[in-house]
Amino acid sequence: MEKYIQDIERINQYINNVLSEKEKQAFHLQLTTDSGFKEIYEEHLTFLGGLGRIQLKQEIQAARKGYLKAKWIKYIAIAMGIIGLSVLTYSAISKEGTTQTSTPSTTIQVQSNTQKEVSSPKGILVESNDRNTDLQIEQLSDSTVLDQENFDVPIHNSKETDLNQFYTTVKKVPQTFHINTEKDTIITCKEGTVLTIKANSFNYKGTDQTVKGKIKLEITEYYELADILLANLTTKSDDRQLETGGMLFIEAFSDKIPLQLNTKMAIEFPTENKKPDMQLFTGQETGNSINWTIENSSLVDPLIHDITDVPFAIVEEIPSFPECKGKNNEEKKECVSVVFQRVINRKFNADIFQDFSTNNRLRIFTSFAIDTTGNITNITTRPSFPGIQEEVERVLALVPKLIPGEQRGQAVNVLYSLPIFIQFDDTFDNSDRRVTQLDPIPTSIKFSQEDSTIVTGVNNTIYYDGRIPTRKLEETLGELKEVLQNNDITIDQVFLDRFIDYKKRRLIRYQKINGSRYVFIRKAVLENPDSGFSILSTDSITRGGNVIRKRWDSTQITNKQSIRKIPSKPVQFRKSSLRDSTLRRDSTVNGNNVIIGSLNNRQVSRRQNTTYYLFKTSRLRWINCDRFIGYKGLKIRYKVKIKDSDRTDVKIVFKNTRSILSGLPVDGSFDFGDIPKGEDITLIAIKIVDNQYHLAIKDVNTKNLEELDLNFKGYTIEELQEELKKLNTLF
Amino acid sequence: MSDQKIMALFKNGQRDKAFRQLYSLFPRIEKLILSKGGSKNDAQDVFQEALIILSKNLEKSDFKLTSSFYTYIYAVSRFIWKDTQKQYSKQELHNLKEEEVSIFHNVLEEKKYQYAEKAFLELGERCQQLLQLFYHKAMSFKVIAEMMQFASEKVAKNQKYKCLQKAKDIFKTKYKTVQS
Repeated sequence: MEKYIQDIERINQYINNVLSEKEKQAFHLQLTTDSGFKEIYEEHLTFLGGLGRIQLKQEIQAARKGYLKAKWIKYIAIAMGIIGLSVLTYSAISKEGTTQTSTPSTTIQVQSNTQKEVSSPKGILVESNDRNTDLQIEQLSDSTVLDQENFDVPIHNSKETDLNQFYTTVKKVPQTFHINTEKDTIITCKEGTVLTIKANSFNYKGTDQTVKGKIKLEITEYYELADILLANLTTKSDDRQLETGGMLFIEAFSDKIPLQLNTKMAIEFPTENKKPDMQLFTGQETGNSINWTIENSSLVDPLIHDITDVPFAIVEEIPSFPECKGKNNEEKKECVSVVFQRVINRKFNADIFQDFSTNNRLRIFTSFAIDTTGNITNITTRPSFPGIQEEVERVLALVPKLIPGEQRGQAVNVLYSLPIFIQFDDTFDNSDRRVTQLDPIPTSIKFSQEDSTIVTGVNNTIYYDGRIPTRKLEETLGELKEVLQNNDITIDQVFLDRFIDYKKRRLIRYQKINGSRYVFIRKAVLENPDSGFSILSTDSITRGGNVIRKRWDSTQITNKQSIRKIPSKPVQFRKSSLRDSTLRRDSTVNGNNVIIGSLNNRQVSRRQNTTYYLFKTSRLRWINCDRFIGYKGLKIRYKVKIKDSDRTDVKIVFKNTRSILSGLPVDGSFDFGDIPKGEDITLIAIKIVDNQYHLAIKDVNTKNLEELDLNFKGYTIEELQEELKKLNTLF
Repeated sequence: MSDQKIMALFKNGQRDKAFRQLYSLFPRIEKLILSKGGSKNDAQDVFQEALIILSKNLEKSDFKLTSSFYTYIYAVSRFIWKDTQKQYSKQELHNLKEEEVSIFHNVLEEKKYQYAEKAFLELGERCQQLLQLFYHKAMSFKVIAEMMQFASEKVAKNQKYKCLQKAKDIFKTKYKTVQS
């Protein structure tokens, strides 16, 4: 009985194909030599065949029932169809008269609307006459009426039209990004704003319908004083003065249909000088100015948001096993790696991989993520040969469930790299004959946890700990691809380090032959299976076994990888290494869109030490990162009187805070409301005289109310813009 | 639905859907059996048997369907019917084409499995359930023990082997008597 059970168990294993190659061979051997075993095997097969019939019969019976049912449904549907058709025909004949009369009434309605439109100053073309257009027209005519009401105020009428016209002509051109909504997208705008938008975040405006595919995002950034002034923006929330950390105007379209966000996106406003209490405001345009209201969203902790994957070496709360509880981080690290080591040592079946070893040694680099539920996911192994991925996955599945790692009190995915070193017994090959057991047994499996911050590439982003400047790294990355002649290879930090090391040791060196760039690769490198270098078919091989290979030129490199500095723990904000690179544009990282607008050099250098304010919002259009100015000193109701103030727009810019206010013209003077007393401000007045633009700039202090004699100068629009740009240093 | 689509269903493991599509061939097979003097029930059985042979063959890696599903099922059904009526003449068997030979073998082989099936159905209900859970549902003994309220995993395991052996014993005696 015992033997029978064992036999059946093996037969089942054989049928399920879980035996190793060696065991299979033994199985085949037994079939040919042991007739009793063969009989059991065939009997079992027959039995399984019989059992299989039962399952099949059940399925066939179910199919038969389905078939009969479908047949009946078909009959009924046909019968219904015929009845329905005849009813329709009947009703169509009897009601023909009524349908005809209803059509003209619709047309009339449309026409009346159209007439209304034509009479209004803006004039709207109506091309189609279906009901949808009706609706739209009605809305439009409403808004026109509103506009007309504004125009009714006679004093501002002429002035505002002119100035409004001015502001429309100088309107900043938005940056346009085409993104795929089905992927997570990170957009970096020209002036450093970073938007992180999750996949499927957009709906058609006013609906629940998610937008799929490509959409257009239009983003305008207002950080510079000139931009803000030219956009006629001010920093005021009702009556309270604000200090801005940057304003944005964002719109999303799919084929010109406006879209809205159905979930929150993250916005990072770059800043060099981080101030507390920044909040997110959304703006409403009210006639000629803008009012900001606070968005119900507080500043998000900058570290949490996109750092969902944190390397093991730097994660604050290390993912651990229940048995490692109650230890400090260093001990925990040790404990976790001991557990991994134990499982690998016990369970890893190394013998099947001996064929792939060199000098009876094998190094396997594995990396994976410990996800927020404590499971091991995203397992990758390198180098790859048949069965290794499966074996690693099998063994890692045996690892007890972990307690997930935490960063800032929030569970995060933790990247873990786990090299496995296998040392096969040297003497095995010679002693083969004496060993009765068929399978070789690895004498030891060494294991180590790399203690550096190196993380092998789980995705296409290379995390680097900042030992080497990113730009330099990117150069090296390009070089490496030129040498490998391969764009598709995944390069991780270990690989890069190794390459740099090889170059240092002159195992790989560059040569110029007849003006072409060649690379000389030593035999030792090529023979090392872990080096990542192998002989290509186009290589010329020297007598010593070294390789001379023509380097790719840089145009052949399609840059697929990006380099990211590993965010380090004590920093309160994310320093971005992305910003000083213009190398990667529209590169794809981990299947997500990463879009980086072209950065111009001046801004790059200016924003070298940039930090970020991070917010999450589901609002589009006007967005402002602001804080209330908590001024405790004396205030003054500040008014400025200017001669000949018709068609003039006056703004004041605070020198010590990033704040801009617009004056409300009252009886020839401009009222700025209650503002702090004794502040240095710059007064900027724009005036239109005889269709020419005049500008006056004056530095004043808010100690006293003044009657100012402004010195206006005439400019063309371009000159005016240039003049205002000179003021950017104020901010 | 085209043959290719049905084939794709088989390949994707949606066997039940494939069967349902193939059932549209049934009226024609039914006609065949009725014309040969069989009853409607016979036609059901023959068609079912033909589907079983077809689907088992499709799982074999060396099998290739050279004709349409209809032609194949028609040929198989014809052989099955002849086999049940024991109508082969020696002359006929000599003149078989290569494809027909393989179909003929399939039909004979399937008979062996039919006996195994019958042997299985003669087992007690509990035994049947146990074996089905293990082999079809691929459940572990632990789950089976829980489901069928065995005292332990080990008991379930032992019980399974006993059932298995019993089924095989029944099969042996039956099959042998048929063969002799």
